[in-house]
Formats: sequence, C-alpha cells, structure tokens
Amino acid sequence: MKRYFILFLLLPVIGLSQSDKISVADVSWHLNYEKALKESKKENKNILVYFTGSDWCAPCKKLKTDFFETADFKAASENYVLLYVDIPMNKDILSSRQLAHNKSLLPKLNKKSVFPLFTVVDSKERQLDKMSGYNMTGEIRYHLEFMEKNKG
Amino acid sequence: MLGDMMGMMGKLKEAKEKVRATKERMNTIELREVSEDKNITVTLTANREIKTIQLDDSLLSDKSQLEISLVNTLNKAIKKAGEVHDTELAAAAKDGLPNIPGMEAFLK
Repeated sequence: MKRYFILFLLLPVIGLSQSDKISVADVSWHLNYEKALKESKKENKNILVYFTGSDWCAPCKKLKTDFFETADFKAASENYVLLYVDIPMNKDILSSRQLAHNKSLLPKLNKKSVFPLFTVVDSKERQLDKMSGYNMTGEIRYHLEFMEKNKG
Repeated sequence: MLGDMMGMMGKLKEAKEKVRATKERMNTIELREVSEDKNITVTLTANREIKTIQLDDSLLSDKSQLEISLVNTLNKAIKKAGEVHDTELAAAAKDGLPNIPGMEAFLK
C-alpha cells in the first residue's frame, strides 16, 4: 500500500519529466531542443526558438496575450517547428531537469541572455536570425515580419 | 515585541535581496521602440541602457529629421523602460512585506 502511495505522489513528477510539449494559447511548442531539431529535419521547417522569463519578464508576459493569442501568429507558426525556452525565477514552475536543459541553450542560442528573444535555427543547427525586445503596445507587425522573413 | 522586530528585519533583508535580484534581472529584459515613420528602431534594457539603434538609410540625407526622430524615439523608449523598471521594482519591494507607507525608501 505504501509503495502505491509513493507511486501516486510521484505521478505528476513523472508526467512532467516525460512531457516534451507545452500548449501556449492553443499552439503546441516543443520543450526539448533535440526533439524540435528532429522534427525540423523531418518536416523540413526552421525552428522558431522563443526565450522567455514567464514569471518575471514583463514584455514576455505581454507577448503572450498580444502575439501568441492572435490568429496571425497561429497562421505564421504553421511554417515553423516551435521551441519554448522558459527560464523562470520561481523554481516550482519547471522541473530542475527542464530548467537545466533550458539554461544549457543560452550559450548556444542566446549568448547575451536577453528576454524576450526570438531566434530562428535551421535543421542543420545554423542560427539564421534573431529579434529581441517588445514595445508592449500590441504592435506585433515586426514579429510577424520576422517570422515571414525566416520561414524555411 | 523583540521577536516581531527580528521577524520584520528578516523580511526587510529578504525584500532587499529580491530588489537586488530584480535590478540585476532587468539588465536582461529588452524593450523595442520603433519611430512613427518606422525609420528608427531602438532596443534598450529595462534598466534604461540603450543596446542598439538601427537607422534607415533614408534618414542619413536629412540631418535635422534624424535628430528629431532620434530624440522622440529615445524618449519614448526610455519612458517605457522606466515604467517597466518602476513596476517591477515596486512589486519586488512589496512582495512579502506589510504595506507600510514609505517602506520602499529602505529598500533602495
């Protein structure tokens, strides 16, 4: 009985550690770089990598509502494999394994550690372009142009 | 009474540490401002440090227009960064502390 109880307590943790995707405003994002890369090769699409600090970065929070929830973003995202890289302040938001994975991508794709940052990587791991910052006014044209310009 | 004071001092120390960490984190938050004519793009941190200025070539032939647009865009960008800066710092300072007027002064 005790064993089952421990297993029951561990279930959410096991579930989290095996989850490799997250849904943000009904759009599915990869959480694992290698899996995103694999899909990028398979689908012949570039990867849109989004670096966010979900619980501390004010422009990132605004982007979620101003950009990710729009039909324009949903349409543009069809051309990409999406990778969501969250580096939150609150340690309870991610598993330590996921946080370590996300931090490991900083020297590779976000050397200056800026947030929010969009960067595009092709299936051969070449970093094609990047765009940081947001003006927080709902003006998302520049982000859409960035996605249009860098789609595979 | 002494216990209450010690507890309060502990919370104050904790809040100070949060403010310090928030100030440091704001070096990594970037805002982007684009001029009305779309010819200037400025990025800066929430700590109001300008990171990049991109100018359209068309501005290079009109020095006075460039100066006016640059001043306007920079001012707008700095104002917005200041708003994010103040909001985040106020939130960090108040987190975990009772709402005592003037308490923020101890955390700066």
